Amino acid sequence: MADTLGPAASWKSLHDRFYSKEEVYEMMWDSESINLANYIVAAAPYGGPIALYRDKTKLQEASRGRGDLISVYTSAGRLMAQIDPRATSTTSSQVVTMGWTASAHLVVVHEDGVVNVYDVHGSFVATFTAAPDAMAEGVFDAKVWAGGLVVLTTSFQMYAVEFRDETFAAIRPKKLADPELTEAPWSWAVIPPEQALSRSVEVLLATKRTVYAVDASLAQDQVVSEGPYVRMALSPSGKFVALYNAAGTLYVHTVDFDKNLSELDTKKGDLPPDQLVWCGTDSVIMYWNKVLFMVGPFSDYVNYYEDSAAAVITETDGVRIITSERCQLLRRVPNSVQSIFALGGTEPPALLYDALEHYQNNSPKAYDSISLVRDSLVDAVEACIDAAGHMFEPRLQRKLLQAASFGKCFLEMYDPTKFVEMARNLRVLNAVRFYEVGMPLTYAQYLELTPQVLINRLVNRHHHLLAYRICEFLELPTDRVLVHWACAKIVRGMGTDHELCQAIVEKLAPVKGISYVEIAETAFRRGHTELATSLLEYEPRPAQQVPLLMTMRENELALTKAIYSGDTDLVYLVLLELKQNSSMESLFRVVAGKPLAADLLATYCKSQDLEMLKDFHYQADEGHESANIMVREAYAAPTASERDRLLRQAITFYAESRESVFEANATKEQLNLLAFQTDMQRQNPGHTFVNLSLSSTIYELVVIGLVKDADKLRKHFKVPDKRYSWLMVRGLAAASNWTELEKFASKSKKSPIGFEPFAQVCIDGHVPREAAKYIPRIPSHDTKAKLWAEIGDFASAADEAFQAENVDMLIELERRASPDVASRIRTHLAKFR
Amino acid sequence: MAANLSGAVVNLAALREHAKEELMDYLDMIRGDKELVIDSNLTGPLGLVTTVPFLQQHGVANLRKLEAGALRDAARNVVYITRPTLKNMKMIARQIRGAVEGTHEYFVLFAPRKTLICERVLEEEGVLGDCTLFEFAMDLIPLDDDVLSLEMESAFRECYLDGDRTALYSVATSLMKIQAMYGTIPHIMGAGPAAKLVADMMMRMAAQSSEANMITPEIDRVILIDRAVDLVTPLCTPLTYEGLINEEFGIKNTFVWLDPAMLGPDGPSGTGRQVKHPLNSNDKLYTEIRDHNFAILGPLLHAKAEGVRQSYDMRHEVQTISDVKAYVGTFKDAQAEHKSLTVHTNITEALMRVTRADAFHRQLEAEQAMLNSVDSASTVAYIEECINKQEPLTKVLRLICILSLTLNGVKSKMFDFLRREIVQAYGFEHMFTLHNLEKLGLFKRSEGKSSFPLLVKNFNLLPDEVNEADPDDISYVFSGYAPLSVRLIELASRPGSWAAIPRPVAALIPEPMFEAQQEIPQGISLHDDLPPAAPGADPADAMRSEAAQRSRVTLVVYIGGIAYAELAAIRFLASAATDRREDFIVATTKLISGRSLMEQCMEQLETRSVGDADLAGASF
Repeated sequence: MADTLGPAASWKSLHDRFYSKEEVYEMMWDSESINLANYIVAAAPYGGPIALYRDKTKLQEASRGRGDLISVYTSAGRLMAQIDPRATSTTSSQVVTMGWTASAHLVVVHEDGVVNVYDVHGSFVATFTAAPDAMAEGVFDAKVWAGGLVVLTTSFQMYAVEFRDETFAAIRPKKLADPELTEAPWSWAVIPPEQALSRSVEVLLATKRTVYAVDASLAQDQVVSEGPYVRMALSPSGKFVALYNAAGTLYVHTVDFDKNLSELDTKKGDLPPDQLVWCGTDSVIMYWNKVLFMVGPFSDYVNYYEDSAAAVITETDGVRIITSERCQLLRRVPNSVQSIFALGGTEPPALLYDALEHYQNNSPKAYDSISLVRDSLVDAVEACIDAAGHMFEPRLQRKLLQAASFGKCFLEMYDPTKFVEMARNLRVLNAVRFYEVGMPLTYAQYLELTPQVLINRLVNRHHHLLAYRICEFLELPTDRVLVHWACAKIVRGMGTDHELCQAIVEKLAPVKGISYVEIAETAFRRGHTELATSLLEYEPRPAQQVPLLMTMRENELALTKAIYSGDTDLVYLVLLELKQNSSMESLFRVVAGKPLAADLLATYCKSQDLEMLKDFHYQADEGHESANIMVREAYAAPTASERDRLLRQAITFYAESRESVFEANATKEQLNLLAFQTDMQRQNPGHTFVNLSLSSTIYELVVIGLVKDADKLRKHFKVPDKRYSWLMVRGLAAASNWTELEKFASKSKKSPIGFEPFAQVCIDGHVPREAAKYIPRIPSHDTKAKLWAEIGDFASAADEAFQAENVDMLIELERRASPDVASRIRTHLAKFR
Repeated sequence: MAANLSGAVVNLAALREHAKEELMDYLDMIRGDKELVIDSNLTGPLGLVTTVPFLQQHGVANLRKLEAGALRDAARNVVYITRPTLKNMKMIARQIRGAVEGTHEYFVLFAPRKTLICERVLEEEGVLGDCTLFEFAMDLIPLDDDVLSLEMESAFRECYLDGDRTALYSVATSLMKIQAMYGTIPHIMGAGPAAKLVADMMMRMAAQSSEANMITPEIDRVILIDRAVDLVTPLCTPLTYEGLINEEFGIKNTFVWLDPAMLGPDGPSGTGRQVKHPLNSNDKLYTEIRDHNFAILGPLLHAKAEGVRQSYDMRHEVQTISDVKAYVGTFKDAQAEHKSLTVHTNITEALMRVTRADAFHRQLEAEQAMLNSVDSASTVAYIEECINKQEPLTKVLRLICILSLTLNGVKSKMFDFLRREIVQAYGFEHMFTLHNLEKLGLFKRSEGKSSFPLLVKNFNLLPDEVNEADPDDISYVFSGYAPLSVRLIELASRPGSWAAIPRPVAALIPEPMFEAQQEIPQGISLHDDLPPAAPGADPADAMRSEAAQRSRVTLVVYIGGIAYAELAAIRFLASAATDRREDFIVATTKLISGRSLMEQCMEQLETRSVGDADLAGASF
């Protein structure tokens, strides 16, 4: 291998695998003043930030002025924030423990059960009490995981809290089953719900010589007997648990304690390690004062030595080791890397890598190497690509990609996607690993974390520009980044509202469909009401815009926007909110001049609040509408007197407006009609008149023979003669009262409706002889002919048709008539030929 | 029994599947037996997307209509499927309050959307805590190969009379859904204020989405027609076969109820109850004749019958085995056609009894006179006679509305006279009906010179010649009157489109008339007028021009409802345009008739029956 010794020089082997430890950063903090042995250390996984807090239980040198502050650093030791844990809290008690959530919020648990949450910049986010009883009892210990925490009180009761979202609101501590301990557990660990079989939080507690598994309903003895277990650690996958007992033996069990996977006497006796952590998912590290003792799955072990006290942090593919001086990564060497860099390796990827070196040195051996691997060139190329991903050193990344690229030249068809993607990912990784950013993400961690979450973490740390560039580079939506940037800008409050608004809109305007609500909300909460209002103008989604405007008490604007959206439900949202929370006057005032809103309010009131509807119309000077409601109420009234009272009231309202003269008169007439109908109903039991129309009332009266009463109505309501005649004719016919009908016909020489209706009702009533009385009085020959034919008098019909010169009808009649009549028709017809 | 949609130019069946699957998901989510309580306005639409056996497969034990009164003997899980109306909420609340607590679980599925206002009413009625609310996004339902409907019964009244524009919002959201499924529609046109509101909403909704729609557009153009643009047409009596069936029998969700005898000797018999018969494109004969003018239907059906008889007679000529095979094939077709022919002959006979009557002729005469703006005195006399005879109020209202619309309002004296006559003849409550018509501008006091004759002249609404048998113009649907709304669609396809309409002429129509383009992401091929690829050209070119080769598809959206005559006229445009390669799909809030339009405007007064005991104090 030409490249001196290569990365493999520092590898250590553990059974069949290699482990590498490499330095990522030299710490930017003042190494002289920080001795990690004296601190409570909480580090977030995936290369996340580190929080340090002076450990009160340890003997301290005299304070050096940092006092009791929690310091938050990047993995490269750059100070991001300092938090006074008592400044924002209601508590003055000691910090018990700290931990990071998945959203990179720092959770600080105090002795009295108070929990405070801060963001990476040390800004206070939320506070809550982890356990109702803990206030009195005090917290003995606590464990924080990515999605929640469990506290153990001094009386050994446990409470679990799960975080629902990033606001940490609506926290409900859940008490776990009482394990009935009489003394403090030796050690304990939390199984997060997503890893627990029951899908809810479980706790493993080491007590006496065994381990209890505790969940919300019961505490179960796992029946192991090599205890007391003084240290315990759950593997990152949640499948295994490592235990260290007082005799100095390390055990690895499956998490259900069904299987003991591994056992190793460390020969350290009763001195328990300071830290027991998992290195990836298949080896365990014990840390004693500056020494790392790593045990592999086959109980082989290896030691590492540090210059100063270390904090060892589990990652999914290894551990991060933080000391006063440096940040290092210890992880298993991936297969692809091993195949290339293992000393004396002759695997195809190694040969390909060699070939590149030969080629670069203009050595003909390059082609020898290539021809050696020809058969497995695809695998070799892919191994080089993969290995490049695992490298931290850009020089090696580049060289491995070159090797892959070189190998590609000898392949006829090769899909370059993997190559391109890796090159792209490496650019992202190198950018976030840069010491100013300080996220020592490995390729494996990056894949697991996903680019989206990485971007969220970057914006949370205010690396907006970097996050934005990464989004563009990976073709991911930039909305999140821009919105976060704008919110942060407002919080920092640089410039006037107007300037802020301009700056924000300038950046966000080109992004289609981006939401301004979150930004406006931030502005509002920070007291920039005007800025919030101007920003909301740009919000494309009324469904989000309107509720915020309501919160801001911009009722009028909210209503205008809701109307503009065309979403009637949104208009209702505003109206109902106003109806509930403000005076009727102000509701009416806001609605005035907005017809859509007014109409919707009326529709709602018609169903739910008639009183309000009346007031509404009254104040809007719509007496007509108020009267309409009264008429409706009148009809729904329980008694006739109540009905009449309401109708009279409606008449006075109608009468107030010139527009409703018709309604006023109609209502007056109706009042009279109802009175008459009521009267008639009483006089004629068994007959119903109330609520019939005037015409129908007259008709019914005629049918039952009360023609006089009908005539009374005619006069009273000035029924036109034509209509009255029709009603008489129809009514009398319906009663088969042909005599009365004849009388009515002879009343005057000329009927206002002519005599055709008389004849027609007789025909419909199957009394042709009666019909014959009226047909001659009809002036039109055509009509007469038609009606004669209908009653079967074809001779008369033919005469009339002849008079009318209606040839078509004559032909038709000729066909239907009896022979003698037919011959007469033929003579008629002859005259037209 | 619903249309199989096999002849649709775009895959409309997907819309139906969508709704069906959504309903299935909700039903499967609720464990155990279910009582389905359905809003009577939704039974029809639901019948078009699902079937009773399907519902039973998904645990529905019983089906009933939502109506006032207690729920008796219902399954444990009560699932309401309802429109988001206040009236329904109150009915549901009363049922829940009336039941013994803890005996039922309640679920409410709102179609097409759950609204805040309904939630609020349930809360005010004290039952919100008892039920689980869901949104069932069933909006546009395919009625046939080329017709989609929101099936909103009273959209016209709500929008134009009550000022409740919920239906417009529903139209806009349903069109967004259409675009999500069939691609962004590049070209938007519209006429009338409601059309403009819908188009604006669509534009805003499109702006809200941050993701580009990458589906290749299958629909090239949408024309939004506000019902207010042409109110005369739906009030007139249609003279197409389908239009007349709807007038006389009433078509509900593509079904008509008929006397069993009309279905022929094979039909169900005995009960005497009316039976449901589907009227859609599954019936080949019906597809052929539905849009014909009724005048030619008699001879046409006669010729058809002759054809069927001939194919039956062919059995005498069958000699060889292969002849038998061929014959059995044609025999089967003939049999299906025969069955359909029986039904349509019976329907046609029933309709002829109506159309031959004097009353029908006088009504048509009156309509023609009004459209021609002549002889209004005798028209008024005719209307008066209808009132005197207390003919159906809807008929009278249609006539007075056409009168007022064509005259730009009725002379003051006449207006007062007709109103008084109607109230006295049909009842006091119709004082409100008349008020509604006035508010809608359908029946009003004279407001000066009418522009209707100008509209007639400029849009050639009353062409001189009509050929009912072999029509060359859309006016055949009313035997001489061309519906304005369809004229506008026709003009949109002419060179120059609406821009070619002179300004003063366009001003006769309720403003605005507008056209707009929607942005289509790059890389998506559009239908355009490119020549088809030359033979032997690059296959990629051929693929690119595939979109260009298909015919242009226009989605016509009638906001506030469409009449059957208009539908027939639009289909005529498509068939007459075979050389121009044009297809139309129609979407609407509801298929309407003059009667249903008037019914929407009518008011009922809820009366409490006043018993005799209460009448003691009253006197005349």
